[in-house]
Amino acid sequence: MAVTLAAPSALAGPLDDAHVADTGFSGPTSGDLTAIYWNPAGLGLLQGPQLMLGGSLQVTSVRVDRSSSPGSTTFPTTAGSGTLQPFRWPLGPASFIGIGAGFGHRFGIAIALYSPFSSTLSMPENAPTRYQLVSLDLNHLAPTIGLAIHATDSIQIGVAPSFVFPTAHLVFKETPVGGSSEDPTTASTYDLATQGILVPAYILSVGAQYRRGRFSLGFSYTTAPLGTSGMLNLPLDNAHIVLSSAAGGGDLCGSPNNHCLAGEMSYRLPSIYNLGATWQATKNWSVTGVVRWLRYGAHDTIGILLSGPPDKTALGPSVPDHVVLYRGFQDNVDLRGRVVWEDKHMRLGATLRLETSAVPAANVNAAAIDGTKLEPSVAFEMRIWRQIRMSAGYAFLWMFPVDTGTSVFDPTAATTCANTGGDLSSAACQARMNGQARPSAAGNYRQWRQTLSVMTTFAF
Amino acid sequence: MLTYDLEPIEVSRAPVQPGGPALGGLLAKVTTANGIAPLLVDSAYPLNSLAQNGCPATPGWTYTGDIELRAGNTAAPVRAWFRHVGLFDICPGSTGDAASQAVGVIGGPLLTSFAVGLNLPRSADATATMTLWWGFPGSDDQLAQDGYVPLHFVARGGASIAQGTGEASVTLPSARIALSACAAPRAFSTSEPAETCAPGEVATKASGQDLMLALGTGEGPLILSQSAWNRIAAGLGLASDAGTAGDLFTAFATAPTPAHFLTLPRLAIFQGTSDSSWNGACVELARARRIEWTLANQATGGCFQRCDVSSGKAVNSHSYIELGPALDLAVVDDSSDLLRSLNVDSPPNPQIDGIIGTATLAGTHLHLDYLAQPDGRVIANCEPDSSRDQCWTAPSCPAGWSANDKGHFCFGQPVPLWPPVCP
Repeated sequence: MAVTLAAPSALAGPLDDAHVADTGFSGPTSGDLTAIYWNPAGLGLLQGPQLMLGGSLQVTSVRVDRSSSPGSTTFPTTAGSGTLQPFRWPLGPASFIGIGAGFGHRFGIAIALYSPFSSTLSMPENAPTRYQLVSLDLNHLAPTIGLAIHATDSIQIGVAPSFVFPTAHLVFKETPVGGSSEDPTTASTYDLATQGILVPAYILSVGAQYRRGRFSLGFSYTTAPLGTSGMLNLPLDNAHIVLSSAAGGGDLCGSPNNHCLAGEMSYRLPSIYNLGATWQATKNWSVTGVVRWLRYGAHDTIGILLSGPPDKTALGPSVPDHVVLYRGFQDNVDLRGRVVWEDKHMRLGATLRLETSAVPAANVNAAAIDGTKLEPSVAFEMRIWRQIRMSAGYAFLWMFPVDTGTSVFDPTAATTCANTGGDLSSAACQARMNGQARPSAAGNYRQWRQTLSVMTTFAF
Repeated sequence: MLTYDLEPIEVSRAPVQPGGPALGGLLAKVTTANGIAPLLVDSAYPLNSLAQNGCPATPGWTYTGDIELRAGNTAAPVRAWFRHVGLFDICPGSTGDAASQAVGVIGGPLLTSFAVGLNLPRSADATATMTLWWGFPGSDDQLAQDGYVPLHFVARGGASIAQGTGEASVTLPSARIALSACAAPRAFSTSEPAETCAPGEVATKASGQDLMLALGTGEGPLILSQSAWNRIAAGLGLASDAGTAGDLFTAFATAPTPAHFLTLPRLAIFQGTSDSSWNGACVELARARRIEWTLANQATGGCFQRCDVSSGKAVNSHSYIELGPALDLAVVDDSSDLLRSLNVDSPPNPQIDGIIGTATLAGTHLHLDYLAQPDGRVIANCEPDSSRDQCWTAPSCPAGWSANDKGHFCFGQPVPLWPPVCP
């Protein structure tokens, strides 16, 4: 019987799910259905049909102490939270459904549905963080087909193309054109969302796995979206702007057509390299090391364009019809060490994960909170019937507090840039172009996350 | 590598013709070794160029270079960088008049990387702007409901050129916007008597002349070939050499092109693509006007003409923008460099009869959305407070428009209870 295990799911970095389907046991050397995500070559180790159903509840808490602005205001502490759970539509994040089969040590094939990238967080609407984020919910559902073959007795190779169906809902406050003063009476509320199922992007995973005696080694590479330079373009068919009280308040569109805005959002997803090695030390004990390299450096901005009826003359001249949200991510590394004990009826695992920050300290803001993180987790799996195994896992992630120092966001840049006539050779206009001409995000950021997950595996 | 922000870039406009108002070709500025110089923005131009030694100069060949794009105003701030782009080392011809000499052209091949927004005020004193976006949001239906006119096109103008016999050739991409148009249709008013049209008469009721025109932001007037003008002139009862003889300055030729200048009363611009329901620009214009007339007069018994009906319902009208009332027109010989260049096309396509210049489009806001899929599209609307004879947009009026569809925009009419088909 194939051995699979469910375990906690947790977000790595601000966008990537580091534990798709499983925390406690899966990795680039796995030989179960989770290999379709981790390393499709592992599907070659499937023996007979297999079905996996799982989900997790993931609760993130953040606390932001914004630095006082010069001269000035003392900001209260802001607490925010986000919950990921699979019971929603479109399905996921934090869910995994997979079905597949291995055929006589020759090849394995599987299909699966999961969400490799997701992010959710909400902050109070009128908090000092409102110009960066009121709420964010990004999800990328990925139906995937995986195929692996045995190249030799000890080497398998695999490939897994995926569709990526993105959905997004983003809410934030925006200052008027040319301004960046934190005046609540002049800020409009942007509530931008996709609607329904969008045209998918395409990504591809390829991998290889080597097994010899007690040692196994796996390597895989997952591309960024293909054919678009890693870019995702999402139509925002449910876009609204609530005008500031100074501009009269109410929805920009008004009636009768309060869906008069069309929008488009664009950002890049990272490519990912995975490397893992497992040593079966004794009959019952094994140790595994995993390294993941996430090319987050591509995720530099989120661009938003809006169009509305020509008679909505405020859109453009005074209410921005384009917004760039600065992300400024950097590549990061996710390291994990794991010890597993198993016998015929159960498995126990303990993992310690360390991940470097995907966001430089100066770039950290409410919409992109990240730092060096430590995450211990435990997982337990038990056979409850001949063909059925159930597992559960728990993980606690703690982020080392981040002090941004001088924030990359410069509230004076918009005005300074306008005074130069928009000269892009000036630092202020480059800041405006990059989406840094916004109220400062300087401060201290903390984050915790708890994840509880369950998984059922049917292996026949 | 393209570095730009999403903000408007001020551009100046060259004269329409020598001594004419500054409503012509769009001029930004560019940094050169000799200082800051004018740079033409011309969507009809088949290549990107920047003369390395200024203008006039002996033409060179191709090189990979940078364009530091500056606003077209006096301060000329840097507004974008286009690095490592393929450029031709040639001077374009002057645009508008002999004094408006640019050192290069941002042509169609570079503009196709963007959705180019153009704000072209009717007044020569107002500032024109260009914005570079990475797309323009909204489906055709959404845009139509908002009152925009989306006009689809398939880019044309692909070609291979070589410096001399035996030299390696350079491939120019298809990057030219070509749109169907109806020139000089009759005047129209919803208060005029009904135009009757029986089945089979849809073509005979049309007025004006069908044309295929390139959209050229680097040209001033509407430019037509002599053969196209001859057809229009016959319909208007004018002589083929009507107007005033003079010189037309365009980027396409270093020497001025002999032309005769006059005005055209009206031009309706439609999509550049064709489909099974497409009958030609002038036929579609006449049909759209009849449907509009019917909707406007339904309270007094207006009914759909039988030539405009399919399966008991009025057919979809095609989106168009109509411009007037006296459009600057330059007529040039069919064998001129300008017309020959416009019709270099691989694979061959229907003949292009001329160029819709920037002065023709004064009083409009355009988005040249080259990046739209599956076809590029020009999204047009009129400057606020335009009169109908100056600028009129008519998004497609769909046959299935529901009376409950509060948002739809059909010739600016209130939500109709669809009138009956005429007996």
